[in-house]
Amino acid sequence: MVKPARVKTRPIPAWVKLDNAAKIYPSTASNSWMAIYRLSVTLDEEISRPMLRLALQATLKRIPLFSYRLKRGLFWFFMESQSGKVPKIQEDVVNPCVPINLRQNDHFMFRIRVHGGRIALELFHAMADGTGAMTFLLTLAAEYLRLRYGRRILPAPFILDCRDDPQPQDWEDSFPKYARMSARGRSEEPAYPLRGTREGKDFLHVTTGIIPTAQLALAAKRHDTTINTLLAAIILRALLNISAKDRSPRRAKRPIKLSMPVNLRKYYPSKTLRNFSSYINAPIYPQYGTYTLDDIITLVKHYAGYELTEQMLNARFSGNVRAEQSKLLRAAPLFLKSAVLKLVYLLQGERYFTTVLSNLGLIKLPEQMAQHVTRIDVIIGGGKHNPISCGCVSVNGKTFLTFTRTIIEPTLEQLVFTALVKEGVHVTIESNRRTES
Amino acid sequence: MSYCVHCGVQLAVSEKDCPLCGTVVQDPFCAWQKPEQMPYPETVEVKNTHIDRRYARQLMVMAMLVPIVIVMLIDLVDGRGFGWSLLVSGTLVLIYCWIVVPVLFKFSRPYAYILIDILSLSAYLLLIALITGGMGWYLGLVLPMLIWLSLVVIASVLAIRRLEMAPLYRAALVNLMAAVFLLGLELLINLHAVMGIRLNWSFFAAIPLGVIALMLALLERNTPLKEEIKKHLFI
Repeated sequence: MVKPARVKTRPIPAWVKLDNAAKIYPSTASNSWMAIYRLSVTLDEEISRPMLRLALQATLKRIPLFSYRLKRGLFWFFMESQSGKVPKIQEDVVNPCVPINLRQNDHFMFRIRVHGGRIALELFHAMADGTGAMTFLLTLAAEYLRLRYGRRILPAPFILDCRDDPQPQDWEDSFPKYARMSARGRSEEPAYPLRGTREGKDFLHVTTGIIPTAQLALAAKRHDTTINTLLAAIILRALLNISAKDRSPRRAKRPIKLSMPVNLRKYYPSKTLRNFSSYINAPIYPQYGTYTLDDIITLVKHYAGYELTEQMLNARFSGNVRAEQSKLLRAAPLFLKSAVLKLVYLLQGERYFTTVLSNLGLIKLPEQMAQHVTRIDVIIGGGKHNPISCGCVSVNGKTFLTFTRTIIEPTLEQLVFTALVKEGVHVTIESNRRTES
Repeated sequence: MSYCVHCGVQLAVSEKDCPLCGTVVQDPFCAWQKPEQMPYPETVEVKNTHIDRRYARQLMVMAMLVPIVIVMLIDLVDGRGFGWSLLVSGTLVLIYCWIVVPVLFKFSRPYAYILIDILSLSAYLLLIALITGGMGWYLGLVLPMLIWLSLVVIASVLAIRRLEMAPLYRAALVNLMAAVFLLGLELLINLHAVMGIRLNWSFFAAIPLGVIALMLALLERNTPLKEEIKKHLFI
């Protein structure tokens, strides 16, 4: 066994403010719901728990941000360093993304769970976005493989070298750095809400479609579009079918909106591991007529083309930054702010989209790592109000499209996966249902 | 390698039937067998579901602050400064102290709740006295009455908590303390109103309470009678 990487430590801040996007999450969190998501990497062999703990120790030295704890201040929540502590490696469960009891979790805002060859990172969104979390997880996996096989994995996108010092750019709040004075309003038309029979309070259904990326790319090429736009269009068309059967005509008239997170690091030279993402809510209006898949693709493509510009994205997050910097809001005590943020989330959060498609895109792993990684999964925890979410990631020639739902009816994923099959794409389905032998 | 005939998707080896439509997939050449390792383990994590008291308290504060701000603004716009709006606000704060505090705050001893209730009532009545110019009756009558009430209640709670008593003895004690309170109440009223220490109506209230207390104490001692009553009441 190889010793963990020797790490030179550099002073890290004793505490940091929550970043602009993170501020809403602690206020909306409760015992029954928390904005949580899960990324997992599966290796080709059973995970050694002691070795993973050593790898986690080294990873936390490189990325100490993840060991910070959440604390309540008089005016804001903030994160306080608790470096040196390493969380326990936990056994996996059938129902992922259960809210983290921070006190019982030694105040860590994430947990590492293991099942067979899978290392899963479940993370509170107040800590980081998908890019930050994926960097932490793949750095952990790379360090684990280094300890296991004694071969150093060279730094690559999403993979940091655990022998390097922590960098101040890791914990930078990039929102105020790049925000400008001009901002756009946050209010939008409320979206069509999905309804269904609520599953028991503890269970989250997970259904993963495993798809050959080449076939998906071919299908997208046939429609002269990208994989992400094709998936978005297929989901929107499935939602159109669901809303057409809705018994409430008032509800069925609402626009169907698919929320797609946007990684702002593609637009700014930020290397932060904290939240630095925005979103677009692509709408389709059912009352305006019927839509073919190609119609929806055209709408999504042009909507994304309009919204995914630096100016439009900047105007969106600048509004949030300006709101945070408002003197009135800053002077209000935390309990008042929390109540206001809860109200904002209720009125302007999930109400503005029907479901979410979070696509982390294609992950290119270094050769030494790719040979051991069989899959990567993204699981978006159940929404507070919206019952279905969707996460997607591609690695080693396969795309993993995972639906999570808090309702019993699997209508949306059935429509999506059967549509993909009709597009000539081979889909293998896996779920977390408990089946008796 | 099994496919769902309805959805056209391939099922992973862990799936007995189609997770999308529930169609049972039967491969005539290879019956389904549960694999050694399923994609997810059997363990279900249970959510911690105790009431989020902090959130409920914040919500109640917000619910209380909204009408307070509204009535104060109306009162201010009215042009005569703060007047009736203070009474409305005081009433809401009193309701918060009397209802929200016992339900949503957890103190290890009950004396804190009693003190909060008495202090909030004292403050509310002081507010009325200040607005109506009635400091005389407040200091001479209301404040001593509230102090007397808090002493009797705290003494009762202290006795019940510290002395290990049978339930009927506790009920007897409560009756006795109520009688003592009424006697003290009339004494305070008379001292304020007629400057005398004559007792009148409180005797007629205290005597039945004393008799009930005695009967309860005797009943506690008479086990056969207690059993007979229990039998008839079907307890």
